[in-house]
Amino acid sequence: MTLEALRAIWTPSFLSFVGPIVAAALGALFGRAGRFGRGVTALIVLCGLSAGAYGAWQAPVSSLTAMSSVSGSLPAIGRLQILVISVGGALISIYHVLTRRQGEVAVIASLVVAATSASAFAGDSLRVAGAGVHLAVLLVAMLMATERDDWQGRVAGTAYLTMASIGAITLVAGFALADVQKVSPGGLVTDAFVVAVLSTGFALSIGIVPLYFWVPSASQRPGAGASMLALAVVVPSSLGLMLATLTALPQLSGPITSSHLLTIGGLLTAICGAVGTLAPGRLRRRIGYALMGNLGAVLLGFGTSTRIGVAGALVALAHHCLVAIVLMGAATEIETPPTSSDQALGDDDEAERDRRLDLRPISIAREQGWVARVAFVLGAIAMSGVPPFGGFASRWAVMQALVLSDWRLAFALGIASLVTTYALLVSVPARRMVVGSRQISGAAERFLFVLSVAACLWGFLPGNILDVAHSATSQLTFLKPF
Amino acid sequence: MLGQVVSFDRVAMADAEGNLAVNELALLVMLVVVASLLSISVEWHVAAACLWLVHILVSVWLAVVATPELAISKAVTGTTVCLLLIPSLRAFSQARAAVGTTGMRRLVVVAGTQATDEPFMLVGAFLAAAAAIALSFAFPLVEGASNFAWYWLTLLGLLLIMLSRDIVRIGLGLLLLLNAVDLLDTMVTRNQGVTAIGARSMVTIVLALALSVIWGRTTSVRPRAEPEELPSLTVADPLPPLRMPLLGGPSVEPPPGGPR
Repeated sequence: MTLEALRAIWTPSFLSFVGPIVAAALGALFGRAGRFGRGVTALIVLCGLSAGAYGAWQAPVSSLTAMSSVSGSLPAIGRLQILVISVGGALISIYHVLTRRQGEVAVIASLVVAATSASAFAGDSLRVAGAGVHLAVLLVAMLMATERDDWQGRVAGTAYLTMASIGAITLVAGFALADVQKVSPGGLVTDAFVVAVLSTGFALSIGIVPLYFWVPSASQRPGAGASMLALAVVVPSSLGLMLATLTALPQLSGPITSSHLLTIGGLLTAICGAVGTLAPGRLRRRIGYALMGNLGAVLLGFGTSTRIGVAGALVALAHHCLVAIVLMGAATEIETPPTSSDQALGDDDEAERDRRLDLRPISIAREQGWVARVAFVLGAIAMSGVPPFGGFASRWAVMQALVLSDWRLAFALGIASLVTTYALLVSVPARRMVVGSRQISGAAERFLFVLSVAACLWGFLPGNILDVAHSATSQLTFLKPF
Repeated sequence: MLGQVVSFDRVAMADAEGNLAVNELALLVMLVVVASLLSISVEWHVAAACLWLVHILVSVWLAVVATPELAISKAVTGTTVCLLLIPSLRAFSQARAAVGTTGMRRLVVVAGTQATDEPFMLVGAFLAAAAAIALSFAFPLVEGASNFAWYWLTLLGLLLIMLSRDIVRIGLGLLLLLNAVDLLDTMVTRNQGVTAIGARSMVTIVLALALSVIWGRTTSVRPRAEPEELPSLTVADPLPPLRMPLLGGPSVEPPPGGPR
């Protein structure tokens, strides 16, 4: 009986979260075994995330509200979500291994992907889906506190844990209030109240203006891996939960529609992101604001409540993940000075020779991180939405949908994008000369360069991505029929 | 005969309802006392015991108004949470006691001074109780006295999060808030599936784990006197700075190893 039950639920789709969990366990086991162990860990994690993506691809597709009838099925949006976050987690793990920095980024990335994948499988059981996203938030907060061995990561981890957890808890309260409203429609709990509570929860979780408190700190202070996971994996999962919520709770599309709130929030986020990027500050802080502004475009696409707008927003969201990894990684390589271990790795032979001959080391000035600078510039241009780069291919559908509803929104979004791009391009610090060090993280910089080229050529990727996203949106019942 | 049975049943039901009301009232009073103690506690023993008691009282509450399965899961979750938090609570308390003698300035900044926090939080707890009573009468979202329980825990958790400078209290506030919303959710949807219950318990336990990790890392911060790890070989200018001579004389490089 037990075997039969196991056989009934054991479909390839369960690889989506079982694969990353097993990979994380094995990775944590091998990760203690020095440099070789870290390489093995990365390989295991890549295999686990690939298995997860394969499982999502093989999963039978069903509608969000009828998932319980087909065992192991996924909604089309959930399948896209798992594919994007699996690829994002794999890219972050590869980058971290190439940088040869300390930290359990690969293991935590696997667990985060597993938790968010489980949330995609929850369907219209919004509490379980919310719990999955909350688990991902908590894991990333732990990574923030532990990835770097200084006080800044702890501050960022505390801020992120507090704010994003309050957001996730508010979401659970919103789901409960939505149930109360459904049971007694004319009671104390009104549609507007439920929309307000859920909007607060999502704004805190995603970082929408005016509740974006954790974004600057989480972008600037922790290690690169934690920032990437927060901005490139957890935020898209929260947006996926938002789509599931809008589909499962059709009463939210009532007189005070959530689309208005999404449009206002998206516009304010785009403008505030552009202004925040212009403000002087550390490079990663400005990138955090720029990515926040980029999410404004995604929210504006959702706010149109049209199939073309939401499909364009989904494509822009996937592009956002890639660009977030490129920009955060490049900024980290530009800003981070070489560590003592880097020095030791680079100058071992020279130092040994100097000790033998009792010579003072001869300092040689070298330029640090020009490949990372090129990757950063390409990533900033790719995000901008300027034709013919990748951001344009992602945003074109969103712009079309906005023009159909109100051309001023499209105009404001375009201006905000241009301002953000300008601010990012002028924020690259002057060239830094490093004395007596090798070129740090050369492999990681080259990896980021390849990713930035892919982000620029996003529109030429094989297959029509917009078509895939457009067909996936057909199950979202809150959309207008065009 | 039938009238006697009906009247007997009515009396029994009234007695049962009365007992139930007394039980609920007693539980509420204990919850108020324990949660107030938690909000003003300084000693880690008291904080850990109060946190465990809050979970146990909520589980007993769930046993009265909901199902035993939910109550057991809540009790097990609460016990696990406290076991996870006790080591870091103890370490944080010891580190806080060391502030001022070892010069851990950063810990002072994060933890804040404790002199004025307790009376302030006590007044805040009373205000939260008054607000919870008013809200439970004005906006009763769920049945009976559960309104007061979840409103009270929510307001106290929010007060702890918003008003504290101490990261331990912020964490305790998060746990209280999670408990409160959990209680509301349980009262709204009584027959939840195993997956939902397990997912919520998992979230609570991982939240406690994350708090424990962050508290533990905070107590391991180095004293200020210890030098930071600065990049010794990274400079903006590849040439070493020249020592400017006094009164226009030739520059003199100090001998390696200092003056003899």
